[in-house]
Amino acid sequence: MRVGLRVNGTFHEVDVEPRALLVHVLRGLGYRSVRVGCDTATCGACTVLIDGRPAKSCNLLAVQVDGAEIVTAEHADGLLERLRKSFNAHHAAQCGYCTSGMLMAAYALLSRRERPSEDEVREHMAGVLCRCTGYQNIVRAVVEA
Amino acid sequence: MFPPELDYVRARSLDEAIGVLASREDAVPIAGGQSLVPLLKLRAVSPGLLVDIRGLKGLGGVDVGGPIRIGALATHGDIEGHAELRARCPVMAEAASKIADVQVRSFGTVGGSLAHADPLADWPPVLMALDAEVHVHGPSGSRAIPMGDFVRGPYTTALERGELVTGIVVRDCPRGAAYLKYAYRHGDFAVVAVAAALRADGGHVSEARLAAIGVADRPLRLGQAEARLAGVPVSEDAFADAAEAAARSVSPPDDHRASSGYRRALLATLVKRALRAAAGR
Repeated sequence: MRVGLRVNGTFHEVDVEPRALLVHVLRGLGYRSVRVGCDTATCGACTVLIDGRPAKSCNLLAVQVDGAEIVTAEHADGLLERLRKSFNAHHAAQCGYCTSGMLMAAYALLSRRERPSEDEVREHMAGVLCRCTGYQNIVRAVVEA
Repeated sequence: MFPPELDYVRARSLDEAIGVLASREDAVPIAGGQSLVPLLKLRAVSPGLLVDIRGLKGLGGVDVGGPIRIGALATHGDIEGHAELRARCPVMAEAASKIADVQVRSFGTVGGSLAHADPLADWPPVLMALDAEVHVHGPSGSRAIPMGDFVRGPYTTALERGELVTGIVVRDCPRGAAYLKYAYRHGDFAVVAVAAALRADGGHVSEARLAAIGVADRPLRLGQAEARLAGVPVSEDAFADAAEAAARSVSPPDDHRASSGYRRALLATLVKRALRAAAGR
């Protein structure tokens, strides 16, 4: 099936099997920041923005989001740059595997709320798991981004 | 993990979707897919054809003009973020915010959750306490099913072949309503959860509805606890009495997540707290 996806502003038209998961299609297109973590819709390492909303790309078929605007951690804009710098400054990554999911969850929150409280950040980011137990620095990085 | 090979069609109208679903035994509808895609990946289900209904017009949205009408395709996130709905029926926003996580709530729909009928899904107890109707449409037309009759067992509903949930209607949402969920991890399925709706008149309970998950193989209305509350003064004693009646009325399952006794104790605690929260609103 032909599926059209606009990823970080670039339009791609790809031929996919209906059963293809969005995460695999995005990685196949070269967006390697999108990670396969638990592969069971739990860990959030595969989080991307779809039409402005955060979603788990391992839990969607690519055909379901034909025509969607997708944002991944490769995207270059002011907000994502600010978040990257803040993650860096606060040592918000240890192994780094969850980082792109964390960045996208934070990006989704900060796109609609300028200055979220720490509680809001914790609540909003609960769908991305870090198994280095580094939440403290991640939360601080988002609050102070 | 990869879903099995399957065909996929995007329905252009409700009637087209129903026609395909009624005529092909191996066809399954997909909306947000947040419960179905994991099942496909686990090969727990292997449909030959997915009928995508997410793009159908007129099946989404939230309308609080008269009775509260929520389209089947409204996502948990839509419900959580709807300011007028939150003002009119806060318990629905409260319940939505306790479902999984933000990402799942972006795509998961209320209609999909109801049709999937996971025994630990959050909407059924809330909608039972609110005495909601589930509206469905199928090959033989439309009908409304009381929420209490909709879930027939684990992953089993009153839906006939070819029927789709089109929306839910809440005619009457008391302000005094609460949904309390106990889970081991943030965003996980409940061990036990309780929804309470309470109205008082002159300090006495005029209406009480209670429903729970995690204490049977399906969502349960707690009729015996409700009966204990009829007409009594709104008080901690009344809540404790109802909690005790609720605990006595169930035979919770004993499994790897919690023992039967623990679930019964949790139920009593949550009934008490849910009633207290409802009375305080």
